[in-house]
Amino acid sequence: MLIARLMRNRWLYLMVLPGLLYFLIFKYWPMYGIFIAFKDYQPYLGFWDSPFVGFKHFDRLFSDPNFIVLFRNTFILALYNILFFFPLPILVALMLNELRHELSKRIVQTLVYIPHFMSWVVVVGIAYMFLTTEGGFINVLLEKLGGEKVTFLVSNEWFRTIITTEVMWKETGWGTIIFLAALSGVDPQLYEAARMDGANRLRQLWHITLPAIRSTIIILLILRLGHFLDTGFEQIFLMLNAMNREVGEVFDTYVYAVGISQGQYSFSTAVGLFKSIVGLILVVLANRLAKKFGEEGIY
Amino acid sequence: MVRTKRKRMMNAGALLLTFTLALTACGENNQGNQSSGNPGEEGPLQLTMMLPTYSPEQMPKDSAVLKQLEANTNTKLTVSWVPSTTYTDKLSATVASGELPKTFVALEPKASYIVNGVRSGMFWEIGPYLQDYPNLSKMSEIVLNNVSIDGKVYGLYRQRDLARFGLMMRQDWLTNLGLQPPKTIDELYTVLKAFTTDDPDQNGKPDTIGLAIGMQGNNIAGFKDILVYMGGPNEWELKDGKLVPAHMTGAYMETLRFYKRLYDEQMINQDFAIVQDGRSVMQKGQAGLWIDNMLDAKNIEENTKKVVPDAKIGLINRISGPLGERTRAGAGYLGMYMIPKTSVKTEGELKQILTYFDQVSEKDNQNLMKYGIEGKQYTLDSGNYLPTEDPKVKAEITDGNQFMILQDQVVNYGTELEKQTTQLFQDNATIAVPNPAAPFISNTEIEKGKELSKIIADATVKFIMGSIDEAGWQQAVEQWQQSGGSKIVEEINAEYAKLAAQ
Amino acid sequence: MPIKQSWGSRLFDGVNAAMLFAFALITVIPFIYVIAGSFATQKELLTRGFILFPTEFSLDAYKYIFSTQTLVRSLLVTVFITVAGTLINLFFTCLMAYPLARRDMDFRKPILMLVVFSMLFSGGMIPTFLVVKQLGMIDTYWSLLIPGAISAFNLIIIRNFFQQLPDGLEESAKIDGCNDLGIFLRIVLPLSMPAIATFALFYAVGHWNTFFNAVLYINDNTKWPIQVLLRQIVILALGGIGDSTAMESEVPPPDQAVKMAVIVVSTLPILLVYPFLQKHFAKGVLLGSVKG
Repeated sequence: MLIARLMRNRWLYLMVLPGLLYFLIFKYWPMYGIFIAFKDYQPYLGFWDSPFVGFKHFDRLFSDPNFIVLFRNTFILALYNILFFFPLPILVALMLNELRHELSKRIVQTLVYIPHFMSWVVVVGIAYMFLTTEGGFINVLLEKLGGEKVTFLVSNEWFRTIITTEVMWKETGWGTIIFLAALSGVDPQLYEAARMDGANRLRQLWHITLPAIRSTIIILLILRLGHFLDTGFEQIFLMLNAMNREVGEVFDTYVYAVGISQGQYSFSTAVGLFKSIVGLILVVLANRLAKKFGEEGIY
Repeated sequence: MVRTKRKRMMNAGALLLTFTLALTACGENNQGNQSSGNPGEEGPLQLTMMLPTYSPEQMPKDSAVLKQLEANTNTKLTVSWVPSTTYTDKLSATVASGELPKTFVALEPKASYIVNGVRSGMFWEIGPYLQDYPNLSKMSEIVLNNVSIDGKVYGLYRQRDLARFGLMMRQDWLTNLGLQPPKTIDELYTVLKAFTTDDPDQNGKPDTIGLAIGMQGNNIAGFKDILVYMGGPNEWELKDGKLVPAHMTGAYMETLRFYKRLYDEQMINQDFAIVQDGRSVMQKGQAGLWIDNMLDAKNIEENTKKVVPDAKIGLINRISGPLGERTRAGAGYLGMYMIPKTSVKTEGELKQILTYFDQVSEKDNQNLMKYGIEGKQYTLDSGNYLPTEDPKVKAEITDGNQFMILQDQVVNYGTELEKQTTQLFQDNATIAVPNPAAPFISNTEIEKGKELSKIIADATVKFIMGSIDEAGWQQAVEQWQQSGGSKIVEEINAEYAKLAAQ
Repeated sequence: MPIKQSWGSRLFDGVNAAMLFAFALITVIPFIYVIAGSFATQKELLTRGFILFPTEFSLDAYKYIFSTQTLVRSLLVTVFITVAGTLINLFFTCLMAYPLARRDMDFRKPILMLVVFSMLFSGGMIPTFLVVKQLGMIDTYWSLLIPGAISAFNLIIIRNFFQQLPDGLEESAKIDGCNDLGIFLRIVLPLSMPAIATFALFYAVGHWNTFFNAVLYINDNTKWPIQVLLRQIVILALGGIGDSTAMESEVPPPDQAVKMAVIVVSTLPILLVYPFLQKHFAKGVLLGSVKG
């Protein structure tokens, strides 16, 4: 019985096999590297001979007086990202979907995705040019309007807003692509039928368009939660300075100074493992929740 | 139809798989061959090395300059270049894979992974061999001491002038205002004030500042130099037989106050905390002074001239303060060649490699790696040095200075300004204040040093910008001590005591 | 259709279009600045700051970067990696995604969990390097093509897309005597062109930005892609990112214009990919093809 069933799906197994091998070889074989979080890894001794130190690196992380601050900073930035950035590509994709003029649609699509290709060095450089108190465009404007200069770049108050805005500016267009692909699958006849029934544009959006991309939205959200504590290193590193470090230092930038630039791989692996575990918990919870609501989820 | 299509796809897949497997097999074989270099054999010495590259382009493998160097030293060099930004990662991966080249440059010889490697006996100790080589035996005791780990020398440092810092000042502004170059801290203040208020560029607008500053990593460019002028130490101060970190000395507070005054009186760029390259302020023609490595003078002058054609940079290296004329000594090296025992097995081979480095330090080879081949990379027109314009020929000398060990016999073909720079480097060496703790290693510092130094660096910026006062500064220093600073002080002093006892 | 609704509808269209164009303008201005900057002189860039049109037009930056030996060669390397890599990615990803989208597939859940887990936990740079080395891929282009053959992220989303295809299609194909591979190749793939175009783009952009792996896995610098050149120039122009102590500013930074010219040259080709893929995103492709 089982054999018959296996035989029936033999093509499916054959198709899955190369991918499965890929994951086993390139993802699971190297995974022994995680154990260096519990060792004092020294490249010369190798993975197996480096001394075992148990939870030393986790101790260091959790007992660091900065830990609470780091966690708070990372958490808030991640939350901002999900609350303010995540819905934006969906919104823009829906707006683009409503745009009837085909050429305009293509032009807008092409333009909004350009910033994705600019490195953070360039984007941050431009942000500096706009926001600096020394002749920055925004501050010149504020002064002309009779206001006072605002120290956007060297203050705790503005840091999160600017980081999130930069992400919104850079990645929104790129983020729409996947939703546009999902929307392309909607049967135009559904809209026609809805119009016949007298449904207005908003109702069409609500009852046809949105359900078509709902599962994509949910999957992307779950996957995003898996990387909840990854805030992106380069952007924050470039925006950080003495005056905003209290709110701006996150796990990724903190680990950079001690881990990467000093070659302390064990400690940075430990921090990475902590982040991954948080991600795993969130993914499992979110997936369970999604299934409860009748969604497919990611596994 | 369907069948053939399907078959074709299947074949493609199978082909890909076979390819990968075939490739895998081949690769392993190759590696076996590679590592069987035979040191005892006659013929040129096979030398593999890993070097950082700072250029968009890399030296071509068939570079005439490289060929010349091989001929001069009877070697066959195989260089693997790694972009400076990823050098540490690549080095770590290479170390872990157990396929280190015969020699490589450690950019930060005191980084934890190097120190750990040394302590687990992975590198040849070369200190005792140096005396046997005519050029290498001339290496400076001070610098060898700086690069030493636990009192022993494990590499060949790449020489740089010991004290390269100084003031690069707009000479034309001084002339415009009828001022003399400053000789003391007070005069420096007066000049900076005049640069700010007396319209040194004579355009009728108050659009200039005295001192351009920016951040270098987390530190303020030039701050450590002013600190030394003010009588402060170079990183650590020896006081009553104890080493004290710079930020716990009175001079540091004085320097903080000095900078705060400059900031409050708008004599430095107010946005300095976010300026990543302070030179740009100088190059806009808005500032009168930049303090850093004087090697930059030529580049700054050239760039400033693009905006202000009459700009001229003057160099000043002697500023007198409470303790007289003094200047900050640097490390005296930039990176260190190390020789791993895993790839160089015998003492005989080690000696051959040291011979190569000794030959690299001969006068002709020093100049070869600095300027290239005469008639190719440059020509000498009655003593005037003319570099080639041909990009292809120019590329052959790219990053050539990465090969150099000693640089003491490099001919200076430079402009007046460059010649003056070299001269002032030598003058600086006579008044340089070294860092007394340079040879010592503190485990806490290796582990947490960068994190801790941020506390002090941030507080320094905050104090200057007025967001904390002296009490706030003291709090930061206490925080530094509690987070591991006291331990660093303890460990460094223990090392010092050990050395003093010998 | 009542006139009233059409009015509201038209107003909606107008506002919608206006907002989208405003957003497009905001996003594109910095790129215009980069293009303008690449044609500007150092003087103008230093003194004027943000420019949208250079007053003094200069081609020096482009002359400089095209005079380097590396630019054209590394662009070709990147094009090769991008094309070959994307084909490999699409082949392996789609092949694996389809069975996982089939509800009648056994072991579907454990395999998916395996995939998801690999997204969250990774062995890190050095162990991966060692695997690549043990497979003999170091210093070959395979090291840039195979270790990233399947992105778990893309796999999961593409599986979701496959899952939304009507079930009836498969049944009818089976009756026609197709096996599962046949269904996949003849029916599923052609129907999923918009999705495949999307993931082609995602993968292509990923390959285009290859930087770190290239430097890590490839010792021979003649095989380095364009991003290495770009990063070197951009970072040198910044005076070294982060810890500049190791550099001690010994290398004079290139002009700002050069930095911008390199950005233009290295992004334009990949930017142009999108408009060509766009026709696949057109509405109704899916059902249109089913009917035809």
